[in-house]
Amino acid sequence: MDKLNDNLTAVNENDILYLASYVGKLILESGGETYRAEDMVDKICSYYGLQSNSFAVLSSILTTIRGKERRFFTNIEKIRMRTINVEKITRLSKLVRDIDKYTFKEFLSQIQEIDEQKTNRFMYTLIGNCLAAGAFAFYFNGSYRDCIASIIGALSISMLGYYSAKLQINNFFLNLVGGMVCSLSAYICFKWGIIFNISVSVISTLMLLVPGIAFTNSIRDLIAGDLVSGIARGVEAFMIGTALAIGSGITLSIIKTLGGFL
Amino acid sequence: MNYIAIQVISAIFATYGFGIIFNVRGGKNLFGSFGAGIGWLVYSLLNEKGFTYFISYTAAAATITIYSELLSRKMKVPTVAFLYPGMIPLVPGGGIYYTMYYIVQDNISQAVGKGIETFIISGSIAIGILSVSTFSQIFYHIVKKKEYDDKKY
Repeated sequence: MDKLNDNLTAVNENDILYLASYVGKLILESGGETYRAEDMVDKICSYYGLQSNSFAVLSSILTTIRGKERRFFTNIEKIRMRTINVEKITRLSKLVRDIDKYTFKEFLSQIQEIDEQKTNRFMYTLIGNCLAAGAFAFYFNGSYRDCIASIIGALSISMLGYYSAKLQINNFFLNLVGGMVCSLSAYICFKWGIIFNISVSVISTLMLLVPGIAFTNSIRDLIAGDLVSGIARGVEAFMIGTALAIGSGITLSIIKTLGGFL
Repeated sequence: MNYIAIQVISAIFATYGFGIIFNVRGGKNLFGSFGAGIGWLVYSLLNEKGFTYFISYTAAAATITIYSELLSRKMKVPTVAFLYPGMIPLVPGGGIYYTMYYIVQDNISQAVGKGIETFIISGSIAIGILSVSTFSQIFYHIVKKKEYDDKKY
């Protein structure tokens, strides 16, 4: 987001609205629940003495505040890319809870710092994927051979994720290809003699893509009364699950057609 | 019993891996992982005693949610830091694969059975999270009201 006016000398309704919307947007981008985003925005506005109403869905957050002299201000932020970043959610929650310890300008700079926080996301994702997939192999009663095959699958998925982020591929197609990669990777390991049954390694790798977060978030949104977001996330989870199923199914079908042994 | 131990340990490691992906920092990731292990332990023990998938998964999901709520209060971080990773091992990824596997093998009846089972498991998890989160809301609402009343006097 653009930086606010550096010559800021007096806080006004527009600045507060902008700041609050900024926080709401960051929460949604980091995979937080919609009610959390709305709650944060309202807390910030009320701290600065303004009455606000905000409405958040998966892809945007709309905020209106009532200022002095019966004037109203409205802002809408579009969320174009969503990831899961629990640390950001945690830090933002803590920051908003301690809002009374900061001046307006300090608060803003803290938020910008959280926003610009960079880690080597690809390397972390790679390590996390391999660790998770490898562990899942044993989880599904596989052997160390299945573990190795699963890690190879995890590497493939990591590369897929890396390049798809650059190409801005839509979610459904990405998961479709992901399902294909899972099955294909396991089958190649089977041909190499690393494994004797592809099921365990396919499932272990597939678990990296299964929409557990979207599913959990969907339920939590529904509980909080956000039916629109809850249902939207539920549909999202269903779509991802369907894409994975179709993707892995297509690959299995092709393998069978070409005379491969399942 | 040996299988259960292996599965619990691997669930912990898998969840820790997901914590890394989701950028859960420090001790939160470790404690969150234990939540997944506890959840799977609950599922395994109930399943072994002959309870249905539905009850086993509901109890496991409820356990993880309770664990997440308690820990979030203790460590003063959002519940999702523990709930997101903790739920991962319960998600029926295997069900998705086997459904398609049976379809490709032209075994439609088993595919349908597996698909339905997958949906039942998803529903069980939903109910587990739903019930605990709702009670948690009610509980904290009562506590907050009490605190407010105390301040008033």
